[in-house]
Amino acid sequence: MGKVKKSPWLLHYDGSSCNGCDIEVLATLTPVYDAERFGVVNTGDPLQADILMITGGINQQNAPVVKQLYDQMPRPKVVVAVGTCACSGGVFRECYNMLGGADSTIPIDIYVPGCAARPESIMDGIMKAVELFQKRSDEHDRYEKEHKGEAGPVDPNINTARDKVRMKEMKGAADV
Amino acid sequence: MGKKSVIPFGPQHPVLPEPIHLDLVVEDERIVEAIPNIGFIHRGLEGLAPDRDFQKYLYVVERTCGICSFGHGLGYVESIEGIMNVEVPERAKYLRVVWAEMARMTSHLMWLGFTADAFGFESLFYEAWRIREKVLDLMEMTTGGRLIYSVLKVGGVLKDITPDMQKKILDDLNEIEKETREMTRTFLDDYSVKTRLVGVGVLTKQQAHDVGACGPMARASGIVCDMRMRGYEAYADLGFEPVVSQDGDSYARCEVRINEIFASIELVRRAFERMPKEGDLAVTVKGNPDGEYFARIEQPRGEAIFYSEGHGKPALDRFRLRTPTFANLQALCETLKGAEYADVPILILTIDPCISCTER
Amino acid sequence: MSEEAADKKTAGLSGKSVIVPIQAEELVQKAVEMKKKGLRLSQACCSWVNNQYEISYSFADDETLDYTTLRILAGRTDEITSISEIYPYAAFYENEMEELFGLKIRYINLDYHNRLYRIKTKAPFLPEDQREVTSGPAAEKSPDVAEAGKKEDAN
Repeated sequence: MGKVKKSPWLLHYDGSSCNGCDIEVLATLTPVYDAERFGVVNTGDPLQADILMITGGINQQNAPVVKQLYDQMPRPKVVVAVGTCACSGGVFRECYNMLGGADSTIPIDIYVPGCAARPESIMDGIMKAVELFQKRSDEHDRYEKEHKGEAGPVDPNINTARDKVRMKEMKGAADV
Repeated sequence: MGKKSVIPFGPQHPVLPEPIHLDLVVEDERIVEAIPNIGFIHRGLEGLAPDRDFQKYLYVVERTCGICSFGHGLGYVESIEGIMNVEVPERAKYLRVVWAEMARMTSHLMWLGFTADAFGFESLFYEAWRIREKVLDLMEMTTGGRLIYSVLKVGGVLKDITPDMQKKILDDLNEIEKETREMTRTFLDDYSVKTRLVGVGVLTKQQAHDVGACGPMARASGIVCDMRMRGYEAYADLGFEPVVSQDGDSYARCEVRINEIFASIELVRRAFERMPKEGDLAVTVKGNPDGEYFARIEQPRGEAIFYSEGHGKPALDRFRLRTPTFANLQALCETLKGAEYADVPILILTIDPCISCTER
Repeated sequence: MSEEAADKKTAGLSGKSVIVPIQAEELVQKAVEMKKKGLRLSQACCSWVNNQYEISYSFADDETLDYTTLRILAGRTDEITSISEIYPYAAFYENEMEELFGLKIRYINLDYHNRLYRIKTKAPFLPEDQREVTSGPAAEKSPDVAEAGKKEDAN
């Protein structure tokens, strides 16, 4: 897995999931499967979390909640979608209240399939998330060093179209 | 009097496994009223019933909730079998009972873990889930899945339990029973746990009846009501006594669920003794459902009601699922009146909330 | 449809299940009778079949395990009186019926005014051509989700 400098903290939120994947995420953190030996800790506070695990699809009520949680987490951050419902909507894709998978609302980095996703797959997803977090953390440190003293929103992690749009909106709001 | 303010609780909270929002009207740390605001997990899966073939709709109903998954599947196939007058073979009935009781054990052990976590006793949380993993290994050995089993079919079951598997299940259950007895002694006898649970959230028998509580919430207040006494599947043959307590506080609810785990172990043992050694697993079902039927079964959380209505088409016209937490939400609001703010997480967890069941 | 026949499924079970058809005006009086007998309201649901509402209120007896269902047939623009003065926890069931089916129920004690689930589609369980009505109590304007949603989007 390479050298791990910092231990990322996990935040787990249930979109509109049936709970199967949530219970498996919690089971991954208990001593039988024990994801905590890779340095991750489960926290309840979005302002101190680095990795967001979303289970279940997004419906019309919890779209603003999920967006707010994503915005509250400070950068650099990684988002993992756990379970088939978070990846694409699952069995409930055609229901009248569902908007789709988690990527209809926030940008996702890692997709973990399964219904319910097995703890071994979730562990694989967490390890990839920790590696990705290390990479982004190093990039962030380098960007800060190069652009020291500059004003404006600093964001080296612009890697999705959605983030680009958001950056434009933020710049527009700052100008007004 | 004191100052009144409204504190929003949820949908994201460290002790809540699922999103629910409560507006707590608080007067100086005492709660005056609680107004629930649900809808975060509402997928609208009852609206898919007219669009899916009734045999395939089972897979959607099973995924209403990952914890009570077997119970939902069982209720759905019972309601279809009731409309179409299907007689399930004997061996399939006993197999369904075995799986339902083992699913009940996993649900109660998981609940014990969450409650221990809510009052800060993390090592008890991990111990309960470690024992639960052993039961999940047995479920995986027999059905292939840990939480969502997909082993039911309209007319019977899809898989069998061989004599080797049966022997392993009975041996492992002895070990599980011994470890559970040790672990639950901490729950029932430890001084610090008792101060958090005894006398908290009392619901008298009359109050529980007026609010329409069901399941362990009602049984802990003295109401004798368990759908397994009706004798569906093989319960009539196995003989069944409900577990009841008289005190009505959180400690009594804990006691009722712990004793139900041991009662389930006994039921599994008796089911294996009385099961017919050989037999068909399922009957073939032809035709489409035409009529309506109310199926009532006992989930780990209480009484669940499944209503199906069909008019001769391959898809049902209406499917309605009334889950126990929907009925217990009002009981939750009742117990929260007059409680202290620090007890709110414990009280929410004593009704064993399954919000994904409530909102479907 | 009255008594359930002694079919194979319910032959060995204790507790009979009976469906009793009544008129919409008799609902409150029958609910009082059920309360006097000590029955508990178990569920209330609604379905849209043959261009009319089929509303069911089910009451369970915990001693004998019997199950009685009151069945009301109503049209799209009819109005039902709530039983939440007699059974306070009926409010959740009735709010859900109002929101998902567009059925108008009056005098609910805890009325969410169509915001229990806050979904954007109005009455999603009805077929498309039945959702909007122009006469009767169901046509009254209540603080609807669609308008509140539009205001939020504009902000």
